[in-house]
Amino acid sequence: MKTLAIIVSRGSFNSLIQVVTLLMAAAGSGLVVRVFFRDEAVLKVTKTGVQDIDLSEAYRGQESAVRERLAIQGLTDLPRLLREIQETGDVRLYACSSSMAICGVRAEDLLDGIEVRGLTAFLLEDIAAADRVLTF
Amino acid sequence: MSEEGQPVEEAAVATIVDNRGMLCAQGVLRLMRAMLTVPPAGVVKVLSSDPAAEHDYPAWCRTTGHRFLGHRREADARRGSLIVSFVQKRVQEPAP
Repeated sequence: MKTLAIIVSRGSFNSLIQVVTLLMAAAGSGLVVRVFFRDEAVLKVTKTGVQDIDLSEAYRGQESAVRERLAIQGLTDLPRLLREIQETGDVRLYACSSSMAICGVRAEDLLDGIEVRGLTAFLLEDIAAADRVLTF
Repeated sequence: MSEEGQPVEEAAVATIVDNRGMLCAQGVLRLMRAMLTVPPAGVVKVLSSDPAAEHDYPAWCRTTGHRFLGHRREADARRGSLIVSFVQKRVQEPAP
């Protein structure tokens, strides 16, 4: 396996952490990775959305402890983590243009290093070329 | 985990990657980044508190073409025990 295509639709911070840690392992292992953020995940990869460390319903009642553990592990600064991942491996990050239109997200709102890409191009080029496709 | 692999002279270590307190994926990313500055055939010593290191680094070496030399467990005052792994950088870069 050399190439991964990843579709990310869920947008809570803990979901993004699952994606980021997988990207760390993949980039650190020399895999080529293409990531497509769509639906509510597009809101999270914006400069303002990434500041909100929101957690899924399953974490109710232990949010502060989980946030503290994330901070101790150095996992609260997503822009820095994504930058390090892209510096280390062949990883490209895309935001779905359709989801951006629905969510009211402009290209300049996105985190640095995230490109705008259409669903069709991702489907016909990135997914078609991938050895495996993962969804989050 | 018992000691595995061949003994490695500490003097042969070119770089130490301290992954204590890191999650497994953070450790792999840090090791890959450290490899960028290690000369070919250079030996990297990796300190891990995550027990997944026992299997992660041999698998990482099989995938990336680096050579897994072995690992051993050491006592650590703060974390109980550490896995100390030794990895040798591949001599040639893989073809694109």
